[in-house]
Amino acid sequence: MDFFVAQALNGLIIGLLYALIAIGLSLIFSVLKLVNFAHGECCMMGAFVSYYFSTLFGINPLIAVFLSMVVVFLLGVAMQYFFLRPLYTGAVERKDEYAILITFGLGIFFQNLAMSLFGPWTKKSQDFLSGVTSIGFLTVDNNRLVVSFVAIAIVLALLLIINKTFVGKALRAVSQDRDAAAIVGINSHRINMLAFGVGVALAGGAGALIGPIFLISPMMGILPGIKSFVIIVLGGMGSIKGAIIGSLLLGEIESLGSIYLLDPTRGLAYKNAFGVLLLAIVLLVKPTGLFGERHVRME
Amino acid sequence: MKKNVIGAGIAILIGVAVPLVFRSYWLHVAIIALYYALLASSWTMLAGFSGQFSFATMALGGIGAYTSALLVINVQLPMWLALICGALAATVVGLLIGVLVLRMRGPYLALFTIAFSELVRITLNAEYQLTRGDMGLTVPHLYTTVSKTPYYYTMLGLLVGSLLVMWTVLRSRYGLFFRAIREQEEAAAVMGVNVVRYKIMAFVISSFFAGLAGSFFAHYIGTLTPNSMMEIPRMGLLIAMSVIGGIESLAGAVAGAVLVEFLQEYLRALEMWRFVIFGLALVLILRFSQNGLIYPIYQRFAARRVEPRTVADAEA
Amino acid sequence: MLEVAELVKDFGGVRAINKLSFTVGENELLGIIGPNGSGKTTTINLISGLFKPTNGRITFRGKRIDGLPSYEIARRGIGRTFQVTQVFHRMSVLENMMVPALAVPHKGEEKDQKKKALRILGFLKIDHLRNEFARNLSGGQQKLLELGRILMLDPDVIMLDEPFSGVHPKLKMNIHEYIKEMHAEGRTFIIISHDLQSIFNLSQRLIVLNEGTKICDGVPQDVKDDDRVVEAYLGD
Repeated sequence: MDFFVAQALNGLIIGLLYALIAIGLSLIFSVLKLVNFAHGECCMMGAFVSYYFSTLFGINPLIAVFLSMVVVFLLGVAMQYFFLRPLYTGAVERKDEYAILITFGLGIFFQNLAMSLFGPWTKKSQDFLSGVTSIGFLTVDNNRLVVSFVAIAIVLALLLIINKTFVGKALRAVSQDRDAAAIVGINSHRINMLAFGVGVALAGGAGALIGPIFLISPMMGILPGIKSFVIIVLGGMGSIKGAIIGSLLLGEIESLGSIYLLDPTRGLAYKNAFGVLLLAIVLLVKPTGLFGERHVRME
Repeated sequence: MKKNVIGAGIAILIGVAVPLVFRSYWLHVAIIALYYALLASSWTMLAGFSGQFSFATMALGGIGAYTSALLVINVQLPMWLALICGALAATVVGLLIGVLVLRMRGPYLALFTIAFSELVRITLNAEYQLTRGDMGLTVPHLYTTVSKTPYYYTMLGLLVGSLLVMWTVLRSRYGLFFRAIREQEEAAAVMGVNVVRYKIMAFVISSFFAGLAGSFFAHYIGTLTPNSMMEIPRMGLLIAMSVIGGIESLAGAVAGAVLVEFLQEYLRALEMWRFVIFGLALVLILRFSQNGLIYPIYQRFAARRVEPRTVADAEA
Repeated sequence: MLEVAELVKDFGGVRAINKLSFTVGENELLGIIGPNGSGKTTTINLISGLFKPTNGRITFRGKRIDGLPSYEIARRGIGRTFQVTQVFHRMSVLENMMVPALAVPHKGEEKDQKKKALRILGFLKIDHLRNEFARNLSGGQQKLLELGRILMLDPDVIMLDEPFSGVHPKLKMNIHEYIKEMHAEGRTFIIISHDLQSIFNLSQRLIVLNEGTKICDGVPQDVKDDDRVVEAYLGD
């Protein structure tokens, strides 16, 4: 029973990290109407930026998380400006095809860039807070606690921005009807840029938070990327509520499933396969997800 | 039409002459280039012509490779039979994927196939008792000789034969249907095209050739690991090859694969940076020349608006 | 020859078509009109098999066709166009024409089909464009190509969804003529249009839809005078 609760807690913490990544992907999907196949790589970039901020410049790792979010935000803005903007100015034919290939290509580019710049070896980031905290029979790594609180804080801040501010209103307006938003004077290019920047910054933040708990490497983004796809398909493309619920669900399924379903040696290896399998099933049974609307094609 | 045949003839002649010029190491590079050329053209047929942007080509190649290798190792199947079984295994899996993704469009299909690729890779890694996982599976070689020349000609033969089949399919009415479905699925359906059948057909044919390439590769290279075979960046490199060549041309895919593979070896001194260059080339070409680099050049010289690619174009 | 009976179509919780029944006779030229969202295009999508009806029957020449896949319905002789023209962009005009010709089995020799395609393109006066990519055609030319592509199917019933929208006035007159000629050859037409003048002019009979139900069915003159129709168009 104790073990079960410990694993459930672990699942919750992982789920919160997934939530950050998946909300970012969902935000991008709802505004830009495309799936960012470079999302996992943006997560990876965040992890490395934060790693170097704290190891090279001695910046407090927690502050480094926020700095890395800023850097990844700027990266996202640049990606949007140079590669995605043509989708909305009519400069590109076969939009669906272009959106898939260009974001996938950017992801591959980032992977190779990270391999070259940072080397293929895994690295461990500095602790946020060393030691452990005991709550009753549970013993939790302090890093994980910090990560959970920061992740929750970021999600709450984002929800506040989206629901209560003018910027949030503009985001929602463009996501619902790009043309109508343009008529009332919203610059949809700027909103695209903002949504993409914020979306990937969330993934970058998650990457930076992962650093002290797991190891970081240039290929670390692939699985979180795929899992965030799983989550937004599960939760419904473009639904932020769905992304949160889906994340927590996947975190738990992975944590609990790996101990209860399979023999332990393989269980660990197959842990990552659960999400993929889940994606396959959801895509087949209900491609619009649990809460989502019908997917619109770009053209 | 005539120009195409002459061009293909010249390309084959050059291909046949390669072992006279290149020795051991560069001949190895040439073999790998042809292997990628087969994979890239199978992807082009599926994505470029039938509009199904699958990321599972490398994984299907891997399924072919492991099936063939394991059959030879564990069941002592004759090599040639194992090769065929490898290709057929990929075909069957391709058929299943083709059926499963029928209702999916664009990004969903891409998502599903990426997930599928990772599932295959994870499984092959996890079942290390059978596959030896990342330790590498030692696979018996196709020929007993150490010379690379027989492998080269085998691969060249496979590639030319496969291209001929794919080209024939794409020039026939089926190619016309593939492209009609790619352009407008519903319009094709109300024009009498059995959309389901032809979408699956494209998946099946493409998977067969991916599996064939993979099985041959296994018995040439001698060591298989799931990661080197089908990691996502591999798929990225494959797509870069096809896109550089031009996404709507088999010849472009072959040219792109040969170009990228040779550049990759030539630029070895740059270490990982050469892949950065390929990644950058991929996104820049997509951004500024959606039809690739090689194909538009060819088209300029051919100086025709529409290529006589299908039955419909020959003079009435 | 075509009979729609008690047709119902729900999307989620919304009922788009509600117990719609009508018949189309041999060589009839039927117009369907109605305000936006009244279910005109949905009806055509149901007949051509792109949507599966929630309930009801569609019979063509005495055989049920509801539930059949689109390609099968096309092969039995029902062709259609789309509201937003759907030509195959990255294919030549001739290739566009050859898709239905080759898709339907036992259509005859390929060579003959190609001659037929050129003849139809000539009839529509776009044969000079035969080797052009369809995406390079103007909007009007694309409309004609779509019409020509249907003729390759040699259908008994042709359903046109907004054939006059966004078309140059002169071309509109041409399309009128083409429809009349094809009708004279014995084909049956179902035409949806917002262009009331054209449709009153062309149709022998009109059906008016509102909120998924038929509110009026008769010769154009009667429909024009019907109060319910006026209300549906002008009301609220």
